[in-house]
Amino acid sequence: MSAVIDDLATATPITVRMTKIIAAVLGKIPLAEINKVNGFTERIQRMKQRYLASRPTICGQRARYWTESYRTTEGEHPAKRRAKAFANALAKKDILIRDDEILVGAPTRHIRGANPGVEQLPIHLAALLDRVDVTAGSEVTVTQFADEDRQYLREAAEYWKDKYPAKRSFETENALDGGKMHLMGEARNALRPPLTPQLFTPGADMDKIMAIGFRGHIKQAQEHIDAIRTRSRASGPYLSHEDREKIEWLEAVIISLEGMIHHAHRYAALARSAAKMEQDPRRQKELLKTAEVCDRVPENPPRSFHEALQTYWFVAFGQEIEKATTNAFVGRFDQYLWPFYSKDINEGRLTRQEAGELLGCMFMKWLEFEPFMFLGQVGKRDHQEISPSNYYANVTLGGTTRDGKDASNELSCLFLQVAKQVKTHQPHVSLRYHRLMAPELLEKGIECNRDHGGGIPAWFSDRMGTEYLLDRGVRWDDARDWAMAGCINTSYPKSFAWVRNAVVSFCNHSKLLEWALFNGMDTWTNKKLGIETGDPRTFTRWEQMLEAYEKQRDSFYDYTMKNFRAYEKSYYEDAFYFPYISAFLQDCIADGRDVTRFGGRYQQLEAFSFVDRGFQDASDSLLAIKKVIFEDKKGTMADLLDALKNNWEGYEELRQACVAAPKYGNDEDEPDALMCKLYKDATDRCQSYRDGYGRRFTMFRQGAAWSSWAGKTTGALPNGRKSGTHLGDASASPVQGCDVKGPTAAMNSVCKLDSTFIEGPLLNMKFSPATLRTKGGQQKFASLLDTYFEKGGFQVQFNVLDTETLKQAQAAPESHRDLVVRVAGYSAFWVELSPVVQDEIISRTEQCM
Amino acid sequence: MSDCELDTDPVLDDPDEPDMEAGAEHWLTGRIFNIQRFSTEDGPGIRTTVFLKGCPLTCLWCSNPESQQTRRQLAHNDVLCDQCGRCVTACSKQAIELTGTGIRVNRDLCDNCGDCVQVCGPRSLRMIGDDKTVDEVVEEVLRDRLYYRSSQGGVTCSGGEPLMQAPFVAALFERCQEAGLHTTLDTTGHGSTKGLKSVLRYTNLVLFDLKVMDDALHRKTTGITNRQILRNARVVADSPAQMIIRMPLIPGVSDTDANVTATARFVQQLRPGIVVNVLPYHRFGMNKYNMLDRPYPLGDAQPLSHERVAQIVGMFEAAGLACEIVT
Repeated sequence: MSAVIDDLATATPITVRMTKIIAAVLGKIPLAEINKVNGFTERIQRMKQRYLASRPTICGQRARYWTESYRTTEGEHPAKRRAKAFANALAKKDILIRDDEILVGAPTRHIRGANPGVEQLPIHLAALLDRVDVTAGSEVTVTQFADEDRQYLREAAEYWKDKYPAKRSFETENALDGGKMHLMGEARNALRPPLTPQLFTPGADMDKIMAIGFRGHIKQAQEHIDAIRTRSRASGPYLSHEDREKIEWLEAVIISLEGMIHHAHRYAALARSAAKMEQDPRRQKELLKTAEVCDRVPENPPRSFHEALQTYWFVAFGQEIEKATTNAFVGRFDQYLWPFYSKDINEGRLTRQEAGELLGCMFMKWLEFEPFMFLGQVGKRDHQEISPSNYYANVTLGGTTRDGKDASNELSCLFLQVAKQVKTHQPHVSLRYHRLMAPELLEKGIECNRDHGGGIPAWFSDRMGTEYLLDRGVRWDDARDWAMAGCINTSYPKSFAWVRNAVVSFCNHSKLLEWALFNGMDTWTNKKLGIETGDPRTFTRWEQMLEAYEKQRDSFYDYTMKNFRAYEKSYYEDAFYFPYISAFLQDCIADGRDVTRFGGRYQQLEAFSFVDRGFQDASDSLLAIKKVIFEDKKGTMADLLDALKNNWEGYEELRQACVAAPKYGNDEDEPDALMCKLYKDATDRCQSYRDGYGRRFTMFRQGAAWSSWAGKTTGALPNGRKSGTHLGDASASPVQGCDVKGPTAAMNSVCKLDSTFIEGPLLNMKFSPATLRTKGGQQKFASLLDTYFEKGGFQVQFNVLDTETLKQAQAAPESHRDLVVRVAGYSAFWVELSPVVQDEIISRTEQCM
Repeated sequence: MSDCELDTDPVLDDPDEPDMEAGAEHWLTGRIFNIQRFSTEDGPGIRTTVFLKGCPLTCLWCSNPESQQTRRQLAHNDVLCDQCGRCVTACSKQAIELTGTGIRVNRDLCDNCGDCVQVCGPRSLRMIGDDKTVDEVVEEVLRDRLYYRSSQGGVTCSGGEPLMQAPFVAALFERCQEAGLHTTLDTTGHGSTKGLKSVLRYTNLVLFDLKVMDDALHRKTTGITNRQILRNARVVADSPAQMIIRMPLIPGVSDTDANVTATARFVQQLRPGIVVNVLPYHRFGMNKYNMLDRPYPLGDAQPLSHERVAQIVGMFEAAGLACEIVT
């Protein structure tokens, strides 16, 4: 570790930069200048057009060259085999520079290319390849691939079919109780096999990369190897097993990094030869510039904003080639790029407009991330079913510096300016809110919410993120350096890899209630997946129903823990090495250990997680049972169960009574208190367990459009929800259409939940762009945010009511009872407006967008 | 209330009206048709608006027609109706019939008993008007007090006409001010001066409607004289409360040059530095008339053009008055 600190302290370029940073930070952010920037130039428009015209395409090159290398490295250290495969893929995969590109490099050769991680899921991939009509594999995303790619993948899958690392865990679990966990997975109430030891959501210490380049990392690794050898020689002729492991791994790091440096030089050479052929002198100049940049970085520290961006991109897409899963790294983008941006601007080498266009190019690169498999069920790409084409790259902006000062800067604002102009669905943007944040950034964030429309940026409580990491044993200054990763992981990006792809369980609490209602039977699989908690028709008190649910919950957790204990050891032992990703994580090189082998600074952050969701429907359902069945006696438990079995057919009156029962999200004591109880009890139960290394588990309650995916297998529920429809969105948001008292009431309800220990309690809200049109409206919005965060809210995302949503609301009014129209001296819900007026509002909304 | 000026209008100033000076009566109930949280257009900051039921005016353009009658009323939102017909059976007065797209209620027969609401599955039918005590309303209002603090917002009483329930509003405002909240009265201005003064004691801001200056036209379009309104405007202007004039711009009624000029002249005399808000006509209330089985009185009157609204703002500004458009 000391080596790292020394490097940063003595690197003169950084010191020079620091003086500049201070000069630029003081004073107001020049918002008027930022607002003039057009990040959606003709160049970017053409690039976006090309993206829109292309289809998701599966690329077989990674699998081909990866496997090709593995065939020649039998018997070598597994870390080294990975590194050599990585370097081989980088040396041989096709590279190309598309028209208009300034930033270059990509995980595949297609604009929307997906890289199947063949070594993770060979059997499932093979099954997918054998399907006749693969191109129409998913309702959502139609994917295509070329025959040669199909062939490469088939060969690769054949090679990996009995070598993939999940094999042992997979078999262990399948052997347990006749594969009951698999059935639970089918019911979408557990993570289904295979439990792939793979790596998601990597971080990287970008400050260090920017300071010393890849070459500096190689130097450190080599020095560490030399030190081990010197030390070892002093004590005898043989290397200890531990030292041998370290040396093998550090050599793997060097191979990986050299592989990427070489890859960059390939781009430089390509750019140079393209420049020779180029007729247009302007484009020729750009290509020569690209060649210069790729020769310089990532090997050496970047000198300009352009080089720094390209450095980030080499790091990030390299990670994607190494791990071949979703969730790409971005981290605190406005922080590690700021020194380069401010220096270039201050020294007059870059205009804000040029910087804006470079950011536009960056967005086009992010768009190229195309997901392939996630959960890997045979023949299905569930992840795409969850969220079409979302790779989960997450940009974090704003927040506080490591010493607790406001971190907002001009680049944060410029980023949002470009984000709202290019309007892409990825990356996610997370803005860390705190009271001292520069008002210009607050203003820009609100404006971006309004103009982008797609919930960009999402707002996060700066304090809560820091506190979360503190609880997980992270040092104060590191904790302040947090970033959102993946869909919503609170991470310390400089040492975070989220190795724990295998969650202990994927608990859908609505499903648990369903099991309690049917005495352990699962309505989707028609198997007894729960335990017997009694026939609810015999219940005389509501409390018995609640207890039945609680028993199902506890038994479910215990059962999944039993499974987890059975495969935990093999999971760790068999995991792949990730030398490229680990090289950039704090302490890995210093420790000589891969992040999957307990390298990295904060092991607690890598603990497995319990993913719990579906609380809202469960809680609202339990309360509906209490009100309608036990208090108002509008029906019996037998009626209710019949109604649920028949998906409410013929029980509309009972259903409406259930729908009318009080619901979470309206700042009402009874429903909110029940929701709090369910939420907290689940947390306490999960936090009471420890893994094999004595770590607490992570409580992960994100959303990621999971609600529709799990909803498909969840039967009708007593809150009036019909079978197979969406469950409550995110983990803290009220069920859609149930929060009829407006944003303050919904926020109050959410703030009642105890979010301690929780990663990702989400609140999604809808807002009319008209609300944010005026300065006054924006100020009110800011006050709303401020109060929400002061009250302990963690995250909120505002999706602007676009015309499409309003049209849906026009067509399906019953599920949009929560939409309120706010006009002076006037009181009404959307559903109470006449169609003419609704049309009027829709056209007004169009004008505001 | 020793400084109460004697008024000549016997209807509005009933000498037997209870005197509020003895202190607010917390057990008082108000008849309320909605409590809207996160109101952003009814006074400064984030607010909770308490809409009170009952109004002495019957403006043709009223966007809250359900607020006019004091009594509880049945309303039906046909958009949600699934034509099950249970309400038809439930009605002992045979006042309901199905129309194919919703229902029609014969208001001559309907006695607003609410039996039909009980059986309505999709909650298309509902009763408008709830009686709530001051305590109940205060409890709801205070739930958002942190939002008021950060946005400098507070509570607003609107309607209907809050002054019809002046003792309730005064008691509510007193309690809110005790809790440190900013209070806003959104009024048509028509009510007893005595009641108005009792409310003003606990009011920080009055949003005072001025619709039509010509009394004949005022009678014709609102059903009532504007004499008391203009008199009360002066009462508010002489009180310590902040005052904003609100003027709905109704095509062919209040948007004429003559009316704007007359309004500006009247406002100039009230107190210096007064702000005028103009509220361009909108048809958001249209469907509510259907819900009450009433025809929409303004027919297909079209909202004003942006240019005309801007022109009117210009006229106020030319008269030395600050003027803002509120939507």
